[in-house]
Amino acid sequence: MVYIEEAHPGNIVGGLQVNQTETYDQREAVAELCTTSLDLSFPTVLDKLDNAVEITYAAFPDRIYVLDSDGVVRHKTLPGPQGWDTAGPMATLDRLLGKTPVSD
Amino acid sequence: MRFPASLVVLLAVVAGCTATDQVATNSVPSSAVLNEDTIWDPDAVFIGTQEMGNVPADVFDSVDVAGIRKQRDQWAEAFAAGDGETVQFMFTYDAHLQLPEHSDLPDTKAGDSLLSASEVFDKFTAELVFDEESEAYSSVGGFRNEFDKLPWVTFKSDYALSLTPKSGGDTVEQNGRFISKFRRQADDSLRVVRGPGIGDQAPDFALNRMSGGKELQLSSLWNRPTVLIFGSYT
Repeated sequence: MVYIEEAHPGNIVGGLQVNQTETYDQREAVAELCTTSLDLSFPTVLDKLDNAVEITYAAFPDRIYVLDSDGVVRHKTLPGPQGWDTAGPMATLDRLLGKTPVSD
Repeated sequence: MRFPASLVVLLAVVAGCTATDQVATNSVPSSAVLNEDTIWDPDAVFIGTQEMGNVPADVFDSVDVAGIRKQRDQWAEAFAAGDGETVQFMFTYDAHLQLPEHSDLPDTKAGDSLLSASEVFDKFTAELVFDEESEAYSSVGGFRNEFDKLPWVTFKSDYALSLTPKSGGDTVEQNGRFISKFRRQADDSLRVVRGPGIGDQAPDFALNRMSGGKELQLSSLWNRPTVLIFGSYT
C-alpha cells in the first residue's frame, strides 16, 4: 500500500477524528493506525508530504495499479471511491501469476 | 440527429462528482437536499461538503481560475489542431459520458473514448468553444480542515463543438459539458492529471516503509508482479 494524504480529513473513523496530516510523523502515525485497525498485512510505504508519488500516479483519493514483472502497468482502476474495484486487479494479477490463461 | 457511437463517446465527459457525492455550496444551506442539479448550479461556486457548515470566503482564492482556463484553452486548441494525444490527455479515466439528449445510450466511461479520438480526427476538423458563463468549480472532501489550500478542484464548463467532415458535408454541432479534475501540484498550480496508462512503464519511486522501516525502491520489485494500492484511512 502507498499511504497518501487523507481524502476526507475531519472524518470520524473508529471513534477518532482523523485530520489532515501536516508533518511526516503525523502521516506515519495515521498510517499505522489505519493498517493496525484494519489488520492490513501487506507492506506499506508513506508518500511524502509533497504528495509527489500520488500526483504522478493520479491516485487521489484511492486507486489500484497492477504492474507486471517488468514494471509495466497492466491494470489501472478508476480513482475511488466511485472507481474502487478489486475484481479487475485480482484477475490481472492471477493472469500475471499464471493462474489463468493469458488472453492478450 | 444521431451521431456515430465513436463521436458521441468523444464529445462530452463528466468527471468526478456524481449524484451520490454530497456537496454543499456557499449559497446553499448545508442542510439542503443536494443532487447533481444543485451541485452544478452555474451561478455558484461550489466549495464544501455537506458536513462542513460555514466556509471562509477566502477559500475561493486558492482556485487558480486563470490556470485552469489556460489548460481548458489548450484542450480547445488541441481539438482545432487535431492533436489526439493532447485531447486524450485531458480526458480523465474517472470521467463519465454525459449527453442528456442521448439518455438512451449506456453510461460510458471516458477512458473508452481514448480509443476513438484518432478515428475522429482522421475524419473531422474540430472547433471547440467554451462558455465561460457556465463555469463552476467544486471540491468534495480533502480540505475540511485546510481551508487555505484546496488539494483538488473539479472544473465544469459547457461547450459547443463543431465537427466538419474532411471529405465534405455538413458540419455536426454538439453542445456538451467538460468536467475534469485538477490536482494541486508541488508548485501550487492546479493541473489535470492522468497518471501512467496501461502499457506504460510505471514511474519509479523510493519511499520509506512505515514504522521507521527502510526505504523501498519500487523498481527493486520488478522481478515479479506488483500491486500498488493507493489510499488513506479516510
